[in-house]
Amino acid sequence: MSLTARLGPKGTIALAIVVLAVVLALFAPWISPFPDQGAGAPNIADKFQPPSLTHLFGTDHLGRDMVSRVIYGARVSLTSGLLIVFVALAVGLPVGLIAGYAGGWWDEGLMRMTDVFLAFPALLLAVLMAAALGPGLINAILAVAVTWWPWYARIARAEVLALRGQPYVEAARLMGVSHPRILIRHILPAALRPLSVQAALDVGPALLTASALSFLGLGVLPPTADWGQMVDAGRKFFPERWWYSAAPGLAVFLLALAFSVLGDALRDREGEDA
Amino acid sequence: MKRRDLLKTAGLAGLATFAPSAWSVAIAQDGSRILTLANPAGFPDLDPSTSFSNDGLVLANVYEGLTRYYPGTDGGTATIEPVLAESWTTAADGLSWTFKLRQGVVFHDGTPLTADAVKGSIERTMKIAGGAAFIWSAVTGIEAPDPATVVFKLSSPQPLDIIASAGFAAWIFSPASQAKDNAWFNAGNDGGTGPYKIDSYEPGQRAVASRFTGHWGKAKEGGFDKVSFEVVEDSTLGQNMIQSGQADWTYGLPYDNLAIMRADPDLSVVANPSFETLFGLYNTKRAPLDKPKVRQALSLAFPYDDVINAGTAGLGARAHGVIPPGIWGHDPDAPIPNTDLDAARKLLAEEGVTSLDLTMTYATSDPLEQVAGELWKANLEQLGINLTLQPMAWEAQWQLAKADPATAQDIFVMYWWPTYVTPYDYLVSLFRSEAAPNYNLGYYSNADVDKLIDDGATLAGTDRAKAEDDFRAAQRKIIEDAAAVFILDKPNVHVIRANLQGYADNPAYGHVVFAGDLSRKA
Amino acid sequence: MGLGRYLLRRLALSVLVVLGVTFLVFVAAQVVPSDPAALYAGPRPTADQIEKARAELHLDAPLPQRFAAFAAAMATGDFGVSYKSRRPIAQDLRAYLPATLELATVSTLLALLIGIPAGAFAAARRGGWLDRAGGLASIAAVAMPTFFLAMLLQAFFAQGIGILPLSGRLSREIALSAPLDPVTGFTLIDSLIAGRLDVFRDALAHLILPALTLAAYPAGIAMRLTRSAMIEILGRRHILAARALGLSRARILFGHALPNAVGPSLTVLGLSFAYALTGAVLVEIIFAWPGLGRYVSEAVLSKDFPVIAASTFVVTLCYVAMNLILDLVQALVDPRVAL
Repeated sequence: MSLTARLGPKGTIALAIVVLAVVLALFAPWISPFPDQGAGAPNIADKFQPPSLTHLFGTDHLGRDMVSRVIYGARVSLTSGLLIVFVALAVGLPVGLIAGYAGGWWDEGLMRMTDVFLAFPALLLAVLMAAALGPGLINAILAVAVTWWPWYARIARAEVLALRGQPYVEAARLMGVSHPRILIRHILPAALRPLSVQAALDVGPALLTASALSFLGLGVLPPTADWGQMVDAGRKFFPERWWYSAAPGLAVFLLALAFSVLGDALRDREGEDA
Repeated sequence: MKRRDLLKTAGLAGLATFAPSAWSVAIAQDGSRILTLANPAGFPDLDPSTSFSNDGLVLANVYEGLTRYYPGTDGGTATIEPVLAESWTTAADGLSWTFKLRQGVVFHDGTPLTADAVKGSIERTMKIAGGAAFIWSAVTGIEAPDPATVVFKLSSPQPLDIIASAGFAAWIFSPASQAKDNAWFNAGNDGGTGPYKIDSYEPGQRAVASRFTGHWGKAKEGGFDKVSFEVVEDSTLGQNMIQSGQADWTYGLPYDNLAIMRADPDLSVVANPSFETLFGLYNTKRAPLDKPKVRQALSLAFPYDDVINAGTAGLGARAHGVIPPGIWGHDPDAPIPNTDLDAARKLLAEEGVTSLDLTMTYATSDPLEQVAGELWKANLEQLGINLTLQPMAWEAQWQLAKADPATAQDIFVMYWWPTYVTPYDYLVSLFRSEAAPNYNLGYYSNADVDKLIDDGATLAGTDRAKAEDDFRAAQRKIIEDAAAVFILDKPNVHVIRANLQGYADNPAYGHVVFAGDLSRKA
Repeated sequence: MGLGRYLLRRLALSVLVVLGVTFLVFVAAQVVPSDPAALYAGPRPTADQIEKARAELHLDAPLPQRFAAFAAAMATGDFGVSYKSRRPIAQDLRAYLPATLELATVSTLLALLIGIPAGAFAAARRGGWLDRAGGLASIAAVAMPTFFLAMLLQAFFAQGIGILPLSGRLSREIALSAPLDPVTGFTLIDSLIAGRLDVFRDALAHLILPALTLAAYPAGIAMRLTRSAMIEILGRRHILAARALGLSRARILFGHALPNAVGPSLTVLGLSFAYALTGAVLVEIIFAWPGLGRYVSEAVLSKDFPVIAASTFVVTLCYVAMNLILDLVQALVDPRVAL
């Protein structure tokens, strides 16, 4: 079955949107109608222009073209969403693997640690971390990743526990294969499959959390374009100058939606395989 | 989906009964006239000795000081008007001031105003030494030779008439309340003489005051019986309240929305200069900012008019140094730089600066400072200078600057406004040499300027004209040295209901409404 | 293991977790760059006033001593005063915590009331356009950013057609002329206790938009979970038998299938409540709801450490308690959970 047929009509559209977002992000300086405005250069003479032929999404309080700002904002949002999930996976996977495989005190200790992180309400913890680390994209990503990794640790651990009892693992132990080898060559690939599906499903929510953080003022430094920060900036002028908040707000919604639908389609496809 | 729609429609129909009608709280249930003031910030401290923030709005209606400052209008001179004091004189050497008290004044608890009450109030304020108590730092003793006379003894000449008019630390309160602690005042009790007394106080929500019938002043025809000081931190809500009539007065709305307010016949936008000025202090200890020419170049690169246009919708004004108009010592003719990128480029070339990385810190929640930063950054990029904008909480920003000039920011953007109306407050706090920086966060140190500031301070109490000359000279030197980029003088913009009468903003009392002067057209 | 031992074990673990959280918060506060003495000393403190504040706050004491004092204070509930407002934090928490809990509770109820029936109908009309539209709606609800949905609802219902209030918990009219005595802090309950139906209606009107915003995400999830559970159950043999026996569709749907599908909704309950507690920050800011989320986020932005510590402690306690209760209920109800 071809990819598009596998994903179904909804999944295909979602994939197209995600690919479009990636292309926009990668080629922003060449695709944006006003690239320097997208990057932050002001143009006061044109401030608060409603949507028109030159500025399809209007302009902001400094006269910057909203289409360009949204395109540049895609860079931040995509990077945030993907990196958050990646970092969370990079931390959570090893923790879960070790906890599940080693068992005993390792398991208890590591799992209690994840409990502590899980006990924090997620956004509150992210806000605390972001405030402690300071502004900036990397800090914001770390702040959200810190709230995300416990889930992956739990999932990884559950997978390991299920796999540990498998006959081929037993056989490998009997043959004298070392623990790390078993972990990496046998268990890791099997655990990675459900985790990667979960990760794909999570890019959307990670993106949403990152934009919530920047809505609260804890994201990238100005004048970098960032969707959450733009929605917040436009709030005082809503709804008279609706385009200021509407354009980035819809962008967040659409991208999160696309990732969710794509993740769903992947999971269904995964379900068919398994 | 259909079911959800159905539910929603049914719900909407039911909700129609819940909708609050577009009412105005002008006449409350018992028929009293209420003035509603929507304040974008809370009231941290209602203690008259230590209040130093937006609580000044409430206290200015509930308490009174010895005098009140009225800035000059239309180029006229400022005046100091008698309030609780009827008249005052100062000795020739300026080391003592004698105030004659007004007769027939009573506190809200019925006790009369006496010189002992004044003495007790100021002494309590000085003893607690919190908030703005430092304005009395030159007072060595207070005497009350008779119930209507108060004598202040000073260690150095001070303009005590202006100091007594301050919006903080200068309130007079009853002997009974002088014995109380901070918690008593913050529970909503007051011991003032003002035209209103506090009825109730919900911290973070509102304070309600009602008319004090024993006030010495004459009540205005059609004046207000009750004043509600609302805390409305969300500007969207504040705008909604003033537009719907739920509030009579508010400020802090985005400048870009003022056009909408102006077009509304029920509203009136009152804009006038304030005593607040915005500037960025250069780190004069860090190379290459230690060279005046580099600093001058940066100041030449600043887009002053664009920032006034984009940041304050054209209502702000070019700053002539750090002392804004309306205050004595303001120098409208001081030479100030205009935006000139070529001149800036030349100066930078003279100092051999081709590329530079600078960090500008500013307050996180301030949109005007952010606009200033973004516009300046765009200009500086054309000169090969990369400006990093760093929003920080005030205390964090301050701590960074006080720590070590070598690791501190390059440009510290902040506002300044005076505690009592004098140019000395601006100059001594921001530009006088400090061993350990407190507010001189550009670490500026110039012996000539120090001398001018000190001389001016000594003369301020006795020879105001000569003091003004000294302060002006000091300021001109500071501008010439480009110790800071003087961005703009911030306007006071208040939006009021058009049917409010008698409203006049007094910049000496920031965002304060003297409710006793107001009435509503029927 | 038995219920008793399970309960004890979970309790002990919960205590450990709360301790861990306390430690984390304390450590975070030390790392955060700020000057608490300057914050405490007032709006524009002199150097002397800052020194005085530093002494008063014992900021120069050694770290272990400060942690011990901090932990003891949290344990006894002596939360101290806010550096910024100098008001007792316990007092603020007593006012703000019920506000957020009320919002979380009402939004959870809304989520279940909307999501479960929607899921049931979608399952009943499976494959039809209703089902597909519902599926899209549920995914959209999950993907919609909270802050954006709040702004849209506010713009349409309050600023646009004006049938609902813009923000706040109660109208100023009521607060000014006839204020309500706070008993529990839940305006809905307090107004009924005081017998004030006007206040009840007013409180309800103010609750609708924020609760609706917070209900969107969990409603979407509830709908999908209910739908898939119902589909699974409807396909089972005994349902087919019931239909063969001639029981009405509605009877089958609501009498047999739905009760069995409610299991996953317990998960949604916990998830929704947790989501409301955290997502409340954004909703409280936009709707000016005087709750804990707004209180904490403002404290974080101004580095008001005592408020941050106390609020985090309290919110985490709520969280842990709620998870404990949910786990217990699940253990009792679901035989698959190994005690």
